[in-house]
Amino acid sequence: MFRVLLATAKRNFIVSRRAYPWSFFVGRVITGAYTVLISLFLYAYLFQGQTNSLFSTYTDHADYLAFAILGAAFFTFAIASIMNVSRTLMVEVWEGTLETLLLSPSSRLGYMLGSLLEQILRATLELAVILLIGWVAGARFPYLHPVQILMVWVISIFALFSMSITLAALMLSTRDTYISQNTLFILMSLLCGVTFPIQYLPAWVQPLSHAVPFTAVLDLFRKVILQGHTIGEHPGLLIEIFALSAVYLTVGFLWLHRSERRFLQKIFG
Amino acid sequence: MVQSDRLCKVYRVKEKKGLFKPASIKEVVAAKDLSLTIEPGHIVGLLGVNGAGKTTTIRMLAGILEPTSGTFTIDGIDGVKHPREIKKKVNVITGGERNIYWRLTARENLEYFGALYGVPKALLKERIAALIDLVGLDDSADVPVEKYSKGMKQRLQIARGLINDPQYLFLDEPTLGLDIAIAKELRAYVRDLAKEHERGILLTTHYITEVEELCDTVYLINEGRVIKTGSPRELIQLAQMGVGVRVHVDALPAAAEGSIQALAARYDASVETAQDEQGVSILIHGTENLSTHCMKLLTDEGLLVKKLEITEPKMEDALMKLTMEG
Repeated sequence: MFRVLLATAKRNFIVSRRAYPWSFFVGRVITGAYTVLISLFLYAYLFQGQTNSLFSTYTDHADYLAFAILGAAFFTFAIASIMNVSRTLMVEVWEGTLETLLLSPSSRLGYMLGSLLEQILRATLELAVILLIGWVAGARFPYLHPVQILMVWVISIFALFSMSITLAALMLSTRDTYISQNTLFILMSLLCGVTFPIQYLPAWVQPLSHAVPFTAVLDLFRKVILQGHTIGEHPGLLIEIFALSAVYLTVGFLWLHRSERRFLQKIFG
Repeated sequence: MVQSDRLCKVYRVKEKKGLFKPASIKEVVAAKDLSLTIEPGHIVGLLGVNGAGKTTTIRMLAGILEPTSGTFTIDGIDGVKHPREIKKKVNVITGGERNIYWRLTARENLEYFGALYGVPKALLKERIAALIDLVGLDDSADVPVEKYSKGMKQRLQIARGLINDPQYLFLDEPTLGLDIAIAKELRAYVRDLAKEHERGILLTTHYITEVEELCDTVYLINEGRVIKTGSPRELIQLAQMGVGVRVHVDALPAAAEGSIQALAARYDASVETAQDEQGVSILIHGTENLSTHCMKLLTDEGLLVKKLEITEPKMEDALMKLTMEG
């Protein structure tokens, strides 16, 4: 499995480098940077640098700018990771290489993890650049504990991978990438507390927020960086992340296996 | 040995009637009760018209398409229950330009596919060098495939199909788009793989000369069913295409004509004679080649044979006839 993982990561790295040397990376950083700027303008000119007491209560007295910028940066990281891993089999279809891939006895998990590895490396770089832009814009991240941040990063990769597998199965079964991924990303931006705390959402919507592992991951990320908490202080969030991710991963792989078989019937039939 | 037992594949295809009307389901039988055997060291041809079920059969035997019913084994391993195990033993080479990564170079493609098959790294390096040499891509091994010509891409496909040194190789129109020299080399290599290295080969092709040159056994399929099996020679005999012998003489006396008619009757052959400016042309058409008998008879009658033509039956015509007969 590790051989397939590393080979797939290397292959994707070469392909990305030759296909889009800089444009893809720059495009996504620009999107993140715009989100940072929008947050900055909203905060500075619309809210006049003020947030109400509810915001302070919901976020444990966090600074809105840092809150929003962390959300935007981590959301960009999530989109980059989920999108490319979930689309990887569809890209094989478009490139006409799915049949040869399926011919080999290679591990599907290794293949998907290989796509994830290459993507995570680039997405992490994008995350760092957007956070830097946020810092230049005035956001302050008071607690940058490398070990805690690294642990959240690893946990987030697990959660995002589980979401990617489920989305990959959806894409393969509907033979669509655009509508599936964009619907998910819009829902994530609305439901997961990217630019505002989920407590602002109507009470009946909030359970939906907790059905997406990204919500808890983002919450944990902010708690570590903005409040200086350790991940051990939030067992509830950890249980939520791992339980949801395990469900997404199991359902995703079962669905993917089924979708693959049906997909082959459709394209060969 | 590859052995399939009554393999069937039925595709369920949705047919849309209109935007707001429910789609109907149509069943398309791509393979029906297909039983075939590929022994190590043998080259087996799978022939049929377009849509006969050749590619579907290959996909089932390669473990990427689940049969609707029936079973197959490869060296005793159940291919339906253990597709991953059988994938280690087989590979497929298809015609055309797809199935390789265009952004990668030939070497990178082969390294990647080698990793997917778990070929040990040291062995993989040697094998890649040998395969690149075999398919004549030495000078462009490190150039991205998108800059290759159609023939070069097809040659890389061949190298990819051999990367795991498969026990059984399924060739689906492998020489499509190849130039004559490379196609000839590939045929020689395929023959060598089978005869010297005991590999089992399944070949589908529209080039009948390839079948005649390579195949030990041919399965002729039509509408998903095997309609005839045998060696290329046996299929020609089965088709009862017959051999035509045409001789030209200055004149044909009545006695000689009678002898010719008697000879033809003895071998259940037909005789046609025609007079032209240069003499008489006699055509004897039967299941056997009667040229020796005919020559002897005419010489015994004191006639000088000016010209002798033998028309051997063509494999292509035989297959066409057998397919039409169904």
